[in-house]
Amino acid sequence: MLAGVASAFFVVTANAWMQHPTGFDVENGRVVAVDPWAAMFNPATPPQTVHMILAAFMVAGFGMASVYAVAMLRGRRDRYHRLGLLLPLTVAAVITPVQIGVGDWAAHFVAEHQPVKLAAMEGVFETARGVPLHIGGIAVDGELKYALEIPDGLSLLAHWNPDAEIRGLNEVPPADRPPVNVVHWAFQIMVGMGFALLFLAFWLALSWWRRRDLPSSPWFLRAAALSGVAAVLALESGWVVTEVGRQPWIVFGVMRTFEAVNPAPGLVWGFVLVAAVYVVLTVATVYVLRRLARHIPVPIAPQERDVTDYKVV
Amino acid sequence: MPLPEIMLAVLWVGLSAYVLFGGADFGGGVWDLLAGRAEPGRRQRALVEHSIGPIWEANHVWLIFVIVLMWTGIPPVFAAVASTLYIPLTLAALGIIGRGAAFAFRKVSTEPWQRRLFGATFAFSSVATPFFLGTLAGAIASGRVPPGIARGDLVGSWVNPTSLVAGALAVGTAAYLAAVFLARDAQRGGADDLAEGFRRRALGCGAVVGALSAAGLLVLRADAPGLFAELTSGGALPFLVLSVVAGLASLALMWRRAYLAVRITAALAVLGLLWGWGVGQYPVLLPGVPLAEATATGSVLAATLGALAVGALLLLPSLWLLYAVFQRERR
Repeated sequence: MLAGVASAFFVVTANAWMQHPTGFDVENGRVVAVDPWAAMFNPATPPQTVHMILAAFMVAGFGMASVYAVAMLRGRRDRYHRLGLLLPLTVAAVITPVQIGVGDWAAHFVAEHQPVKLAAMEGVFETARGVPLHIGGIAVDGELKYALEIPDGLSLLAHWNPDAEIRGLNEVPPADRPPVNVVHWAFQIMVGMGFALLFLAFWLALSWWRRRDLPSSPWFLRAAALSGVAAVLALESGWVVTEVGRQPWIVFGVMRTFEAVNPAPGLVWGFVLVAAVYVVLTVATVYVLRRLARHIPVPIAPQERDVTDYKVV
Repeated sequence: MPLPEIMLAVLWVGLSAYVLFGGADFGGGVWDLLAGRAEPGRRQRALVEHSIGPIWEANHVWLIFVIVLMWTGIPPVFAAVASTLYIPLTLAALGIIGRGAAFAFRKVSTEPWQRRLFGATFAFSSVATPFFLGTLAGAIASGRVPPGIARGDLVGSWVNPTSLVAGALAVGTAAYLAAVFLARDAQRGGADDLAEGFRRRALGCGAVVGALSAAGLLVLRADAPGLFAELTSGGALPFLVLSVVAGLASLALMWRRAYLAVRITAALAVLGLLWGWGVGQYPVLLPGVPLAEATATGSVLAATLGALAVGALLLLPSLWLLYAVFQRERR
């Protein structure tokens, strides 16, 4: 677990640097005076790494709980399955409210350092004071339509002040703006899933506090069965927000994405090939896992299994 | 020793580990491919599986190590290599992915057609992957990767005499190392007939690899004269001599069935070639790009090497334990 958390931290520091590049200077188009520690511990590192590590625990917790919830819905209500549901779900339920707080921290960071990304997340086209929070809606021709508005909500959330100024997409030329609908909707999905999971966590907490038991409603199991999918969806849309929201930059404010792409021809075929191989591998993995699941007891990992126990035709 | 040289030496140590351990790993797949039809080849395949199963894919940490050191320590070289040689790099990556997946899938599948399909994928990618990795080495050694992004010939850079010989040499070396390794494993497992079989294969394969190396030198003379001169009369000559002597000693030891000692000499023969190439090409990494112009700044090198030292304290004992546990007596 320590190594897993450490890897997550190191990997995300690299992405944090792409959001908030520090620890170097550019002189005549060349990178000079590199300070690797300043690059690694850039200002975006704390909120982003904590947000991602907690997200990973949520995906693992809700994901494992989902498996046992499905088994319980199919009628396996023994102690093994109840514990299999309860343990990971409890861990994930405890983390969820913390994660929402950390998400708020990350959003404040974005509001301060990447105002254009925040504007895309919230569909704010014009700089203004007392900006409402938009829920839903579609951006058409420089305007967010059909959104539910909570007056002064965004100013309040981003700066703890209902009259705070929110900088809009008009602050930068159109070529420097990310695609609003993708970022806005990804953000809505992430937040929506986060609060749905928070609701599930409260449901569990309430039932445990009152009766020392899982909620008896089958709807709880159905919700728990979906929670793993919801957690993955939230995690992936969160990455869409941070990556698409940074466009057109690959290293924010320093290098554009098109400048970073290998100009060699034919790369698209390499991409198609790799994608095709992964599709085949995914199908094979699901097939093999399903076969393994039918053989009870579950065999141990292939690398731990001795060769003497298999037969070749 | 200045930091850039230390960095390059550490990178080459990592590459050596990958060639030896990863090579033996790939070679196991080569012998799986050549084991013949299902029933006659069953015991041979079982031995291969038994030997590489526990280490399954762990050896690729060395490849990751080499790649990470390249992009942190010598970023312009990494950029040039990765962009110009993206075709063999992608194919090698697919080979590694397909190989690891197929090996695991074969272990858990029971249907004959599935075992054949996964087995064939495993064996085929075991041959293809070291070949493509070898062509990369040939491309760099023959100076066909110019500095800059995708400046080289996308095909000609790795489809050329030096690359093809290097690719063949990589496959041959892998098979040879695996045969040497498996002979001892079979003997320890009490399967003397299998050990005898791998002894024969190691002898034959060793002779082929020796001949390939000699042919490779001739190709280098025409294709990469600078490297050839260094190898035959310059600072790299001692390594070439070491490789030849260790190679001949390996054949003699294998003939006398000294299965444990031959592991050391076989490794030395391979390392002689690898370090001969490295020393022969030093300090030029890419055409017109000496080490001094390719390395990252001192602060990056110091941080990387410092982190590596700390990491090595953790990783090396674990790897040693992993290899040692599965080399203990069984049965």
